[in-house]
This record gives sequence, structure tokens and C-alpha cells, in this order.
Amino acid sequence: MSDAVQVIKSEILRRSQEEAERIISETEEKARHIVSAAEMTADEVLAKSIKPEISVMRKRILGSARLEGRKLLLQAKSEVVSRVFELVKERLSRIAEGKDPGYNYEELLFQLLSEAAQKFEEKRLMVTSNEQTLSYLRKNLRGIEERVRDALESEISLEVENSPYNCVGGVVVSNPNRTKVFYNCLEGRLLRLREILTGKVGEILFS
Amino acid sequence: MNVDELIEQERKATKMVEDAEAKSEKIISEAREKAKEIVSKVTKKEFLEARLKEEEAKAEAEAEEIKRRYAADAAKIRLTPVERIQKAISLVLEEVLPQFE
Repeated sequence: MSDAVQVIKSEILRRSQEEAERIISETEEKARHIVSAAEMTADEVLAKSIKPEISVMRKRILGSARLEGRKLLLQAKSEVVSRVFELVKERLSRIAEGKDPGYNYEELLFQLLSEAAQKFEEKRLMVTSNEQTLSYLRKNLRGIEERVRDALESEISLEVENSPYNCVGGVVVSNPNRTKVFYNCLEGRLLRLREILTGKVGEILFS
Repeated sequence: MNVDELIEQERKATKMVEDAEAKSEKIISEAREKAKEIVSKVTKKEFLEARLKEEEAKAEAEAEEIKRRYAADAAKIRLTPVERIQKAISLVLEEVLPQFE
């Protein structure tokens, strides 16, 4: 075989190989396009059939999880807030027992009594409280009465009831026929203010 | 020059291109078949149900993660520092106890 023939044969082979490779390459590209177009069509079909259903299902499942999560947070916050109020109640007990050096219970008692007496038009008032406070009131009634009179500029007379009232501390004041009663007990004051203070307490604790 | 040899080579070359074209037709035919299958699959009940289950499982897994994060936040809340609790106690005591004039 001559070299010239060999060169022409190689050229024929090279050109035909190039042509075959071009055909396959273009075809593969076209095939990819066909599949990709089908996938897009399938997506459109899905969008019209189950995608709205999937979206609703996801919203339901994730929404429920978020709601459950928020309940957990609220529960945890509520527990901490309740703990604060429980600790305050314990502290009030210690204050009323005279075991808290930061507070003078006798002075607080005078303030609570004056505050309660102010609510009455009557001059003769009945006072009760827990055993310990009643005992203190009985021993110091005249002096306390005098201070209340001075503070309110009124001729009020105080009588200590025989039956104690179950409370942490503070006083329950009534008119003699008990048609009007003012509860100025420490835990009662706490209870009345709890709802109002919960927001502020929450701010301090969690902000 | 050996013309027969060249004719033979040309014949082989033509065959090579024809083979490529045949292969090309097969590739296109397979692609069309696959495309048809892809589109037809998404309309089948079993596929749709399987897809829904798959999406549901995905959403459930995401939901678990959300709940886990909230639970971690709740645990942190329960560990509120003592200083803040003391501050809150002081505020409540200040409001509950009568103020001296």
C-alpha cells in the first residue's frame, strides 16, 4: 500500500469518526432536552394535582409543631412566673413571722391596718388576723389605735376579734355588724396584684 | 493508487456514520420513552400516594426539629438566672407591701 493511499484512508476514517461523534453528541443533548422537558411537564402536572395537597399538609404538620412548641414556651414561662409568686408568698410568710431583716412587720401591719380603716365610715372597727398577729395586736392595741387615729385624724376605736383568720399576715377589718369587711391580708394583696404584675414580672424574667 | 482500497474505506466510513445515526435514533427513542414514563408516572395513583407519604415524612421530620428547638428554648427559660428571679421578687414585694409615707 502506498503512503498516499494510507493518508487518504486515514483522512476518510478521521472524518467519519468526527461525523459519528458529532451525531451522537448532538443526539445526547437532544435526549437530555427531551427528558428535562418531560420533567418540567411532570412538575406542572404535580403542581396541578398533589402540590396544593402537599402544601396544605405541610402547613398543618408544621403549624401544629409550632403551636405545640409555643405551648411549651408558655408553659415554661408560666412555671417560672408561678415560682416567683410562690417565692414571694414564702417571703411574705417570713416577713410576717419577723424573720426577714429587710422588713419591719409591725410597721407594715400598722400601714395595712390604717389602709383598711380608711375604707370605713364607722369609727368602731373589728380587727382579726392570724394567731401570731392577733397576739401582737392584743398586746399593743392601744398604741396602734393611737397611731391610726393620728394618721387618719379620726377617733377610731379598734377591737381585736377572738377568732383568728387563716392568713399569712396582714389584717381583716370589719364594721361591728360585719356588713362591710375589708381583707387586707398579705396573700390577698398578692392575689389581687398577681394578674397586673404578671406582665412586668415576665418582662424582668424573659426580656 | 488502489481505488478498491479507498472504496472499501469509504464504505466503512459510511457504515460508521450509519451506525451512529442508528444509535442516535435509539437514544432519541429511549429518551422519548423515558419522557413518556416520567409524565405518565406522575398521574398514577401509587406514585401520587408514595409522593404524598414521602412529603409527609419530610414534614414530620421538620416538625420534630421545630419541636426540639422549642423544647430547648423552654429548658433555657426554666433555667432563668437567680438574679432575675430576685429582681422580679423585689418588684412584686414593692407592689404588694404598703409603702411607708
